[in-house]
Amino acid sequence: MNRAIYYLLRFNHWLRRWLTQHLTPTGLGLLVALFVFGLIGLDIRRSVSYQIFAFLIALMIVAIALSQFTRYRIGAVRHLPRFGTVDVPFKYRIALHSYTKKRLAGLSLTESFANLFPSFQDFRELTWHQTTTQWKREWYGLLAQQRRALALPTVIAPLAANGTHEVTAELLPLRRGLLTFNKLTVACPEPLGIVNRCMTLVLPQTVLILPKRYQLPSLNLPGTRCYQSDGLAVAASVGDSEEFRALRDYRPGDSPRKIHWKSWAKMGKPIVKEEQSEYSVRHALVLDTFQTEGYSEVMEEAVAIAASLAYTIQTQESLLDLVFVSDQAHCFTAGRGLGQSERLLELLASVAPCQDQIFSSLLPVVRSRLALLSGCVCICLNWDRDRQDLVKQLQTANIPTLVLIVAPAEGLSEPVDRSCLQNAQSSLHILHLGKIQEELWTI
Amino acid sequence: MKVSAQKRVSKLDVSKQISGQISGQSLGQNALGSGIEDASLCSLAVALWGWQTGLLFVAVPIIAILEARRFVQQRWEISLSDLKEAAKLSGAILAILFVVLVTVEKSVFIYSLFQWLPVAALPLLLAQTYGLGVQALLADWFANPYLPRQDRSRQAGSRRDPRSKQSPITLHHVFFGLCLMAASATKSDHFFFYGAASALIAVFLWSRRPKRSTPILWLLLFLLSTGLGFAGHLQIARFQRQIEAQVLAMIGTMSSGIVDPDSSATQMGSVGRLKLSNAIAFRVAPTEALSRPASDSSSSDSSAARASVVNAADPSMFPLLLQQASYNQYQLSTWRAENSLFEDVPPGEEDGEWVLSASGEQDRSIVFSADLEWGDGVLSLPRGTSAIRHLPVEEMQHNQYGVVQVDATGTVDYEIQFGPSEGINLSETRPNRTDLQVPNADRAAIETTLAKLDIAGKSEREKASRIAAYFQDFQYTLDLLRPSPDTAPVSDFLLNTQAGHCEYFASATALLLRGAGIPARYAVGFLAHEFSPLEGRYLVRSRDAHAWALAYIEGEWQVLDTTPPDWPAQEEAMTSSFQSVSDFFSFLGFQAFYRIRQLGELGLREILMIVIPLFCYLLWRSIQAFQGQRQRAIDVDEAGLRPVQSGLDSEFYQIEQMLDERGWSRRPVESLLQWRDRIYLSLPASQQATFTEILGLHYRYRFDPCSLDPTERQRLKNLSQQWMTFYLANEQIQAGAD
Repeated sequence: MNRAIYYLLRFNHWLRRWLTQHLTPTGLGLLVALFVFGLIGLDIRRSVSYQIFAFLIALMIVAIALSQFTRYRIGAVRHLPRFGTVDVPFKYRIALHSYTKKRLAGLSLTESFANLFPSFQDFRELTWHQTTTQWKREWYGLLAQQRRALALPTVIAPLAANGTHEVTAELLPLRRGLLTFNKLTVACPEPLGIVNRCMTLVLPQTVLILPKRYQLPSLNLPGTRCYQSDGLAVAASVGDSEEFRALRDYRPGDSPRKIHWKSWAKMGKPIVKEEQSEYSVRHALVLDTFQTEGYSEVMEEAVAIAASLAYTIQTQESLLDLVFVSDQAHCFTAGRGLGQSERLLELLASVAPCQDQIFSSLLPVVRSRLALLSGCVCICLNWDRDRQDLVKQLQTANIPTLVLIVAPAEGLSEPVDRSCLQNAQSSLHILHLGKIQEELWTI
Repeated sequence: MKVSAQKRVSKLDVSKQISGQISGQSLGQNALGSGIEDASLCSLAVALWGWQTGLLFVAVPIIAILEARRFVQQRWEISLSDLKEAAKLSGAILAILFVVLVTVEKSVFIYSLFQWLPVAALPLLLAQTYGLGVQALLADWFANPYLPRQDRSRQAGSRRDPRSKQSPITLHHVFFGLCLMAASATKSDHFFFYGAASALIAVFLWSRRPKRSTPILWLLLFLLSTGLGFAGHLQIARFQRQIEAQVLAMIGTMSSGIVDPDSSATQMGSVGRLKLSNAIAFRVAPTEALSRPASDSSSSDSSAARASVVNAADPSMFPLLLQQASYNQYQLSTWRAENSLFEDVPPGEEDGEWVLSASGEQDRSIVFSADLEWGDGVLSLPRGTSAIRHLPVEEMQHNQYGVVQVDATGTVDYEIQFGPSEGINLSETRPNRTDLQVPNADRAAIETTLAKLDIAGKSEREKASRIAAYFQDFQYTLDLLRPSPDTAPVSDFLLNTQAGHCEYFASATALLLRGAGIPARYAVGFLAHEFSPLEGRYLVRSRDAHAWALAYIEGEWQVLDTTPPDWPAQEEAMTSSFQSVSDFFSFLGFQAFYRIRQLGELGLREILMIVIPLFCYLLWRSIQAFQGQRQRAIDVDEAGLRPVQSGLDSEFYQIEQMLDERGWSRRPVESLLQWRDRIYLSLPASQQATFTEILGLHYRYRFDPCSLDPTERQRLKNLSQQWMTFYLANEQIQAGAD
C-alpha cells in the first residue's frame, strides 16, 4: 500500500514537471478549463459547457498535432563556475548551436537537476506519523530538501540558421553540497502558443554549492599567541617563523631529526640545531554536527554560521582550526599560508550530520589541541551536559570561548545554564532560526 | 487603444518594481504583445454572461465598474491580508447565494449557483483591477507549491530577476474563465454562445501567441480548431443522448427486480442478537394539535387490543401502525410479493395532492416529516389512507400489495388523510391461491399447532382470535435462537423456542392463518408510539420497525399483530443513556432544516430583505478590515511629481525589444550608448540619426530630473513609432528582395 502511494506521488510529481515543460502557461490554463467545463458539461440538458469543452479539446488536438510538426536540432555546451553559494543567484553561460536550416525564435531553456524526488526509504519513514497534516508538512519538507536549486526558464533570442548563440542563464542554489545538472530541455511553442515542442539534451555536470553566509560584525576573537610545539610546516612570510638560532650538545630526548650531522663529524659528538620557538595565534572553530535527523534546519544554519566565521576571520596572521565529526573526527587548519578560507568553505559544503556517534567523541580531538589554542568558537545545536563538558574543559585550559547555540524559532526547551563559562572573555549567545542575521550583529 | 494599454501596463508595473531594476524589455514585451487588456477582456466576458443568463441588469454595472478604471485615477496598494479579506467577502457572497438558491431553486440549484459565480468573484476582480501589487502577491503565494511558505518567500525575495515576481496567471484570467463557465451554465439551443465564446477565447489567445507565429497562420489554425470543436460538440450532444437513452432503458429493466417492495429477507434462522439503530427515521404529528393527545395511554393498554384483530376504528390514533409493504409468498425465510405491478396514482386537484381512495367523513389526518430518500421512496402509510397532500413529487405509484412509492429526494412535510372506519387499503387486491400457501418445510409444525387450537368449524374471526391468543404465552426476544439448525425457523419457533422477534410472530401468524384456511399476508412497517414532549411530535426510530400479519376476514384485509405488546419497552431498555442528548441534537438539526424549508416559501422580496442587510454588514466589515493605502495614480504628465521609476513607459523599450528579437540584443553590461555604437552600422542609414535622437530623448525622459515637456514627450512617442514602422517596412522590402 505504501509503495503504491509512493509511486502515485512520484507519478504526480513527474506529471507536474511534464505538464509544466510541455505546456505553456496558457496551455496549462486551458487544460484546467478543459476539466472544469467537461465536468459541468456532463449534463448537456442544463448547460452548454460541453460546447466549450469540445472547442478546447479541438484546440488542444490541433496544438498537439502542430507541436509534432515543429522540428529543430540544437547542440549546447554549458560553462559553469566552480562554486555557487546558497541563496546567491549565480549566472553561467550556455553556448547554443543550431543545426537547423531555418531561423529559430521563441525558444526557452529549462534546467533539470538530478535526484529531485525522495527515495522510498525516506517516504516510508514518514508514514508512521499520526496526523495527516504532520505527514503532509514533513513530506513537503522532504520535497523541499530534494530541490537543490531553482532555475527559471531562460528565454533565448532568435537563433540564426546554423548559427551559434550564447545565452546567460541564472539559477538560485537552495541547498549546499554538490549540485548535479542532469538535462537541458529546449522548448519551442507551436504557433498557437499552447503546447511546447521539447528537446532534451543530456548534459551531466556538477557545481559545488557553498553554504550560505551571514554578514558578521568585525570579530575580535580573544586570546594570545601560543607556543606551537611542532612549529609550522610551511614558513610564513609574516610573524615568527622556523629559524636557526644556535648549536648545542645533544641531550637525551632530542629528536634525531635535529641532529646536525656535519658538526657531529667535526666535533666527534652529537650536536643538535637549536631553533627559535614558534608562537602564533590559533583559534578553533568547533562545529557541532551531532543530531539524530538526517536533515535539519538548525544544522544547516549552524553550518552557515561556521562558513560565515571561516570566511570572515582574518587568517593572514593567525591560524584557524575547523573541528567537526562527520563519519570520523576531522580537523583542518587554515591560515598563514597553510590553507585558504575557500578550502574550509568547500569542506563545510560537504559536512554531513553525525547520526551514529555521540557528542563526547569530539572531546579527544579538541583536548589534543588545547595547548595550541588561543581561543575557541563553538557552534552548538543543543546545550546539554556533553556540550557543557566541552566548554568546561576549554575554560579549565583558560581558553576564551565564544559559544553560539542555534535554537529553533521558539527557543530552547530548557533555560540555558551559563555556569560553565568561567573565563571573563568567554560568552554565550543563542541564535534563533529566522533571526540569526539580526542576532549575529549583537555578538 | 494600444497607447492607452501601454500606459496602463506601465502604471501597474511601475509600482511593482523597486529601484528601477526592471529592464525595458519586459515592459515592451507586455505592451507589444497584448492586443487587448485583460480587464477589457473581462468586460466582454461579463457582457456575454449577462446576455446568456438574462442577468444583464447585473452585468452592466459590473462592466461599468471595470471600465471606470480608465477614468478613475486612484489605485490602492494591496497587502496579503487585504487580498484575503476580498476572498472572504467573495466566499460570504457565495454562501449567501448558496442559501438563497437552495431555498428558491431546491434540487436544481447548482447550475443557478454557477450562473451567479461572477457576482461572488467581484471583490477579487476589483482587487485585481484597482489594486497595486496583487500580481506580486500571487506570484509569491504560488511560487513553488513544493516548498514550505518560509522557503518560498525567502527564495522569491532573493531572486533578482524581476520577471520572477510576475505570475503568468492573474485574477482577471480566472474571472474570465468564471464568466465563460457561468455563461455556459444555461440552457441554450442556438449556436450564438459557441461563436461568442470562441471569439472571446480567440481574443484571449491572440495576445498570448508566440512571436514567431504569423497572424494569418494563427488565424487559420484557430479557425480549424473552431470548426473541429463545432463538429465535436454536435457529436458529443448526440452521443450523450444515445448513452442516456440506453442507460435509462437498462435501469428500467433492472429496477423491477430489485426494488424493496418485491421482497423482504427476514432475520429468521440467523444466530446472534439483533442490533437496532436508534436513529430517528421520521416524525409524525396529528394535524389537530401538535401536542400529546389526552387519550394517549401506555403502550400496554392499547397493546391488549392489538393482540386481537385490530380495528382501525379504534378511537386512539396512537400507537399507530404505518405500513410500508406487504408480501404473499414465503420461502426460505424470505417473503416476496408475487407479480408486483406498479400503477400511477392519480394526482388530486390541489398541487401536491394524491388520491388513493375516496375520503370518508370521519377521516383524520397526520403530518409526516420525512426524508423521501429514506426507504427508497417507499412511503409509510397508516391503514385506510385515502389521500396524501403537500407532497411535491412528479409521480407516485402503487402496487396491488398496498405499497406506495415516489421517486424524489429531500426532506418534506406531507399530510396523510386516512379513514379510521376503513380497514383496508383500496389498492390491495383480493386474495388468491398464493395467500393460502404453506411451505412444505413448515406444514407439519403448522398442522400440529392448529390441532392444539381446535379451530375446526369455527368462524374466520373466531379462528383468528384463537390463533392470536395462542401467542400470548410466547416471549419477545431480540436474541436470535437456533437450537436445531435442520428445522425450519418458523417450525422451530412454534414447537421449540416459542420466543423470537416480530418477524417470527408475523410469519408464524400468517402461516397459521393460511393453515386454518384464511388468506394471510406478511406486512412490514413501523409502530409510531414514542411521543417527544420536546418536539411535540411522535418520533419513529429505526428500531421501531415492525412486522405483522394481514388476514383476509369477512371480505377485507385486517391487521393481526400477535407480537407481545411489551416489545417497544424491551427495545427501549437497550438504548444508551445518552440517547436523550442525541435526540436533542437531532431535534436541533430537524428544526434547522425546518426553518430552511420555511425560507423556501418566502418570496423574492422577503429573501432580499433578509439578504441585503446581511450583505451590507459583510461589505462594511470588509471595508473596515481593508488596510490598503490609497495611492494617487502616477500621472505621466506631471513632471514635477515624478517618482524615481518614471520613464519606464518610454517607447524606446519597444525598439529595444524589437531589435532584441532580431538578434541585436543588448549585453548585460552594455549601456544603451555602447549598444547603439555596436549596432549603429547595421541600422538603415536613413534612420541612424533618428535612432540617436530617440535615444537622447529617452535618456532625458528616463533620467533627467526635469524630464521632458509634453511636446518632447509626444515627439519621443511619434519618432519611436515612426522608426519602428519604417524598420519593419524596410525589413519586408529586404525579405522580398532576397
